[in-house]
Amino acid sequence: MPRSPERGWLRPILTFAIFAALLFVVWEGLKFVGGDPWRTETWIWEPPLEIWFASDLLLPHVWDIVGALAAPVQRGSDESLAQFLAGAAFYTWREAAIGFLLGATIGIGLAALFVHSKLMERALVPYVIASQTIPIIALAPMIVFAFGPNVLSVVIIATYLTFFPVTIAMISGLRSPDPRALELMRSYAASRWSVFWKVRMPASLPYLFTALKISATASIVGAIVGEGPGGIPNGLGRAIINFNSQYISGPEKLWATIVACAILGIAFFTLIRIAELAALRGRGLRTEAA
Amino acid sequence: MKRSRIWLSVAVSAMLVLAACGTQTGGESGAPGGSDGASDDGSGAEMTAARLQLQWAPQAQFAGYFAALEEGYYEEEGIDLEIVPGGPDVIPQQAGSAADGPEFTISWVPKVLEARDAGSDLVNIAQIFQRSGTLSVAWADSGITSPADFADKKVGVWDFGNEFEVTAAASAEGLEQDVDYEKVIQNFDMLAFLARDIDVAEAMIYNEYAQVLEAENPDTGELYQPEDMNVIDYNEVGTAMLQDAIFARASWLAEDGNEDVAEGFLRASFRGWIFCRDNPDDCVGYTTDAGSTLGAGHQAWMMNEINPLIWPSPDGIGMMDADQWQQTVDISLDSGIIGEAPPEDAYRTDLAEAALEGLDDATGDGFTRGTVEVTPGGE
Repeated sequence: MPRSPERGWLRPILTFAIFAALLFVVWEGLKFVGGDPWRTETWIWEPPLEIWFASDLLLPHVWDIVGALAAPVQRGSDESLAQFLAGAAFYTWREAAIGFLLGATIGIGLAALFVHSKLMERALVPYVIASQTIPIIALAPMIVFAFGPNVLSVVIIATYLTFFPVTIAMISGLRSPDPRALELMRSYAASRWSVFWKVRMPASLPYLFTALKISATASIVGAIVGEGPGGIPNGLGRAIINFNSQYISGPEKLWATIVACAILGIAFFTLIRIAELAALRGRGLRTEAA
Repeated sequence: MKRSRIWLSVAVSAMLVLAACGTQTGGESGAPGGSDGASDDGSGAEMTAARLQLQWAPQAQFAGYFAALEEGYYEEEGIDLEIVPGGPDVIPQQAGSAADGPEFTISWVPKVLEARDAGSDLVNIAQIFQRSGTLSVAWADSGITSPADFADKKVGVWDFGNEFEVTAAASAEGLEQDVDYEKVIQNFDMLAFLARDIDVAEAMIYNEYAQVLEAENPDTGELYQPEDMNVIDYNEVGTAMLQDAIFARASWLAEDGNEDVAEGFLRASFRGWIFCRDNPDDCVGYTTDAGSTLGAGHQAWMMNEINPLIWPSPDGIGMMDADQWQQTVDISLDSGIIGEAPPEDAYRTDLAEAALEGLDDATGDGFTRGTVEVTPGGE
């Protein structure tokens, strides 16, 4: 029974908020029973237990993370950490978005090739799969060596992480039309081209969007990982490296950066989801597959 | 009808493309410029383009170069200098060894000796740091006060050629690695030390040591204090190795006119460091302006610790201390970093000597270290 997406906005947001509140309670609860002492000007609470991961070093207080986001990124700077991270996230997102578009295009192209040529599929699919078993941290420095420490390398790394889910999903998607529909087209003597555009492509869209949602988050991971060896100073990757090296004197800054990465991933995912809703509206339950 | 929805999603993708396109024009700051050789700056004067490869990301360790750039010292020498930042994935001596690489490179001496063994022709043209900034730190309650106490302990060191001052000190005490003490490869942070996973940690006096002092001690709610730690200084132990120095390729120096460029570069750089000795606060500002995201308090600490590594320079800044060079070579040989001693032309002092001529107070005889307040989180 298809639910209309318009009516469903409030509930997920409410659910999310309740869950976030729950997470907060568990987080601070752990620190309350097993963390480091809680101090205010006048008051000290010594937690009775000792839970190793609840220390201020490994699990900073939520309000310290929020406080770090609101504080200036550097002494004397007008920019807060939140603004700095928002800028870095936007920069990383643009790299990821180019990689995502290239990767999606390559993925669709490869899938179209494989669906039409059994030979190509047999010859190339093993390489496509093999390509994904090479850890990106091993490959990233080589890409940077080949293309230089610049944005292009980062985009290539993001592309590399993006094309695979699209290829695999689109092979299934392009094969998914009802055989009777294909037969009907054949009886009309439709060309491969029009079978592709009129039957295969529309049928594959639910598969495509599922893959695109995976790729959207993967492309951000690729961009962040690539920014390290790529020597890109403006994105989230460098922020992670910096705040990681200063972790002991400011753990909340790395946590804040992780929050920024997560928000970026969710935002990109949501954007693809909106495109999906627009493209697949009227197809019923299939659009619910988030 | 269905078509139009497909097009709507296409429109969303188009939006992506438009947003993404900005990256290509806006994202060039990370890419080193490919310009080489002479170029016209547009200011009328003949300017020579040159690049300086930093050993690490911008921080006060390189304040003298930022200062020389901002104060216009390079420009006065006719050099249009581009400073190329390093980082965790940049191997400066490798970048500087490439034929089309930066003309000047900051690196540590033993690492360049190793690169020379692998065919690099980098030559030390100015030894900026006269002293090593490497420490080992242990908690005060550990009883570890010297390398002799490493026995049966977990001793943290950084790898990639950063470990030899520590391991050489241990072996001078007759301690054999992984027999008498456990060598633990440390991340470039102090987390393992704070968590007491290791007994001894390697720390640069101008960076990681300060990070501990900038961190909060959960037992007191205050910052960690210097009394909480025992510090082993490898300058005192006698296994210090030479660190930040300026290198250039012998093949590049041999080209007509490049020695003059190098001399001008050194003079400007020396003036930058003299400026930072006398105006450390300004240099902290230049460093944060150069794109360091480390806290300003941390940079102030670093600047204050970098100066004593340079000053005093008894023979003038940039001049090689032959004994320290020999010590660095000996330890490099003993540790197996290099197979044979480097030739005499692995360093030269003539360019630095020429650059020093006419510079005022280039020895810093009267230098006394300053004091800076430690700030929580290095802010």
